[in-house]
Amino acid sequence: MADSEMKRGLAQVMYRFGPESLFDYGRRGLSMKVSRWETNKISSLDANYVAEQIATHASSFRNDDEDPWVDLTVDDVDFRRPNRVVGSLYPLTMYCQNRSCHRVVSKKEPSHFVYTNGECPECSDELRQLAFVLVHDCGNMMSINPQPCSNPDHGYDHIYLNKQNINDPLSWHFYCGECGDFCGNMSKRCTKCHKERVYFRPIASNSVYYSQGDVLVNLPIDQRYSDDIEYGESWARILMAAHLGDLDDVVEEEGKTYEELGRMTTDERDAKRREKQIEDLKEEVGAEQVEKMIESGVDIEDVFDVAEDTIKGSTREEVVEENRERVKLPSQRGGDSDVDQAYSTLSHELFTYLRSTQGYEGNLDATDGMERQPTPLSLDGLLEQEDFLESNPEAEVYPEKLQKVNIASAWVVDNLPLLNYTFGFTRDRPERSRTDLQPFPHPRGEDSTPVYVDQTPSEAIVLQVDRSAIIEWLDEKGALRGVERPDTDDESDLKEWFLENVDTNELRDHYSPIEDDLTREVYTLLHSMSHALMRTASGQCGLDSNSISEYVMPSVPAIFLYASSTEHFSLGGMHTLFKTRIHPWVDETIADVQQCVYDPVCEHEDGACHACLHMSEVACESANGNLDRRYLVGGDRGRIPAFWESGYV
Amino acid sequence: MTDDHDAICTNFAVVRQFDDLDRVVAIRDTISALNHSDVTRADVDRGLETPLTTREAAALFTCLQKNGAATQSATDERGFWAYTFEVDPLEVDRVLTQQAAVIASDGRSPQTGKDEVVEFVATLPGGFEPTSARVRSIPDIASTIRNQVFNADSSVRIANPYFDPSLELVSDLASLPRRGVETQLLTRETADEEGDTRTTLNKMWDLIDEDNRDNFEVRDLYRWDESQGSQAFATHAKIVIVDCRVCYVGSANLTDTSLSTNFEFGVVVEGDIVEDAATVFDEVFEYSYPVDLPI
Ligand SMILES: [Zn+2]
Ligand SMILES: [Zn+2]
Ligand SMILES: [Zn+2]
Ligand SMILES: [Zn+2]
Repeated sequence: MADSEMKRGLAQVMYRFGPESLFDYGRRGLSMKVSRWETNKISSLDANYVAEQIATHASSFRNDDEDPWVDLTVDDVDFRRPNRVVGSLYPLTMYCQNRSCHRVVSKKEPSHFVYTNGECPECSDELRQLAFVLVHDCGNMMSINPQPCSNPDHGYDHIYLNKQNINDPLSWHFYCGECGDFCGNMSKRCTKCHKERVYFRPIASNSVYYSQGDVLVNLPIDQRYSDDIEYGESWARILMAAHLGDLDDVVEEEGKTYEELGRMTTDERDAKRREKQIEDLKEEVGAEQVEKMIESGVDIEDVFDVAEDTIKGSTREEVVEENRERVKLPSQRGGDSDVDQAYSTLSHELFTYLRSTQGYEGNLDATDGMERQPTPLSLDGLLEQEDFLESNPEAEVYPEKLQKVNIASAWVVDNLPLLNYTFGFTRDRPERSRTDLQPFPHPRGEDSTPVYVDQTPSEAIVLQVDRSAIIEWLDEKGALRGVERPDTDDESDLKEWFLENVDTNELRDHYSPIEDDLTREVYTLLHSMSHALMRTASGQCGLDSNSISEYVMPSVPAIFLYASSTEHFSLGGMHTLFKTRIHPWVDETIADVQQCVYDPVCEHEDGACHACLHMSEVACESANGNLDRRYLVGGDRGRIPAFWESGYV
Repeated sequence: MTDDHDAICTNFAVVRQFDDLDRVVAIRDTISALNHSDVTRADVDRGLETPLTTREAAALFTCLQKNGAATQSATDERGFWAYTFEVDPLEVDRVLTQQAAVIASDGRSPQTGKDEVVEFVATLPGGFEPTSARVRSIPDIASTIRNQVFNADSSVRIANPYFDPSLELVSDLASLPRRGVETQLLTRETADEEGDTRTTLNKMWDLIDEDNRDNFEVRDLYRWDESQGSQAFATHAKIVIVDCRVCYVGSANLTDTSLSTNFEFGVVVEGDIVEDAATVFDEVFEYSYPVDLPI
């Protein structure tokens, strides 16, 4: 059967046509199985982080304690980008569609059907695929095949399908046309786990295949330095220091990038300092003199009064040490053994946030492969453009409007690199705890677990939520008991407070409840805000509501709303929203979130349901958990204060 | 709102948008003469010879709001310019008098009209990596059309021969009649049962609620010459004209390939010349065959 070429967007292909999935092949009325993907190896991604994410996902499936999912690390994974889908005819049982015939032809290989020419060997009418397969929650899929006739002279040669009761496939069965022997029905025991008898499913049924994967923001790291960067705590602390503003001098004045800071050691700094001192001396006393001194072994620092700060710039060790003094993460304080995971999650969040709102700090032209860096445009920057204000006069009021929902700063980001990945599939049912997660077969038969990835640029709106407003609200809610209040007039103190009090480890697995109270309060507040804004954004920017996804960063705190649409031409919607529709967007969101059609039940129970805050699973990062409208508009007889100003009318 | 009637304006949105002193004065007098404090764009339009454009309305209310003469009192999903504002007539008088004074002292001649603006737009071929920044920075056709359409205020005229029903832009276009924008669409071969055009038009029809279907008019320009066995005439133009103010003309069809992977090129024109395009469109539209939806 012909290979099916990849024409649709890759992301869509990854979701719907994963290896081992089943699909209808066009108008020919045939169904095919994706037998494999042709792929290229991918190396430029934050492999550690993605592997960690996959391990987290895998841990909620029934077979989380089995290979390859148990103790999955980056070394077990092979990242590949698909470039071609190869499919073959499936299932391999056909029967004659002539109602007075129903002769069955079943083969082991798709190619064996070539000899039948698609015709019944009995009456030459057209053969049709049996449109059912057997699937089991262990991940197995089987063809429904007849058994041979017990008379060895008949074998498979005279098998027919009895479809007497056409509406009840359960009663269908195979029989031998010569002797009338029963040759099997529409079910059989699972051939993989041998546990249960499995019943048929129509090929078109959803439950035949559930793709498992996710989307995340994956900013490229400057590959020139990546080998020298010490990840883990050191990289997280450099990014924390940058976030807190402690590195502004080195980054701005000296044009250093975070990657450069992440690798510069004391030795290297001293060598550079000495080089600079020598250059300065040469200017002062002449090159020849200096060369002579160096040759004769004179220590120039003994002879000349050289200023200590000829080379400014912090080294990795200095930055890390200083930040260690300053910030104690929650997981660190509790003696949590998962503190490494906290560093990894935090690095990913902060790196994404910093680059998406500030851009790349270095020189893009001098750097290969960095064209995937996001390019932010801040609302403040936009308002400085005279010609923009001329065509959108109302934009002047945007900051005030956003302040109503406690958004302190906003950016629209182009070229946000999204990483779409898929690591396996399940069959029969979607619930993670009741199914086995199946890995894909390796396309080259190797031992590692293949993970398929696709990188696409997207666009996002980044909203940084007013930190002091959150503190005031938490305080009013009584959630700050026993927790020290930060100085709400000091931005860097506020930033530090969120790093020290929001436990990112609690948020790694979005399927288990958040135990830390403060983390849950902050996350629920931001997540509810994110959903309220997402639900109304689609109407304003023309994107389908499932095409907008969220990335909530409670430790910043910030909300990313990004276009996850697989259709490249739909880009531009987020820009339109940001530039021209802030007013109706915010107003509609505030109005929308006040009530739900299921009030008062919704309001008195969870404050969130499918009619008000829930989004489809693809759009939400945590399966609609931790949402509550009352956090935004107030409720529970005054026990929950409103985070949003609602008296705008 | 402030009680200080001598306060100096700090925001000059009106000055940036209007260069006709008399028009600003007329707006001021209209608002002052209203005997209610809730004001909408329509209220202002009633006192003017030419109604406010969307930009002008947005500038007017921004300026009043930022200078303490108005506050937003009711929202509208169409956008800021359609909101209702509670105004203080004395304050409005102060603010608009000051704005008019600035326009006068600026010495700008009234009604000069802006020059035509022309900009190129393109869809770059799939997989192609432009080397020059100039090529990289050329605006994308799909987003350009989309942005124009979102800014539409009263009318949109579209000529387009081929469609993809799955294209998101199609739902954007369907949102126009819903917002009260007069939408005219000229296409071809709508009777073709297998064709995507028919599917697309029916889909758009479904997306528009009954009350607003009058705002959507479709015509077909295509005739087959039986005796010659060939096409007699047909529309092949790709045009989007928004509010008689801005016009896109180019090579791209409203299809997935045209708007994502083909090389397509076009121009966007703004200014008085757009009225010529609208006139041509209107005559051809008139000549074409009305299509009854759904097909
Ligand atoms: Zn037959
Ligand atoms: Zn037999
Ligand atoms: Zn609800
Ligand atoms: Zn969510």
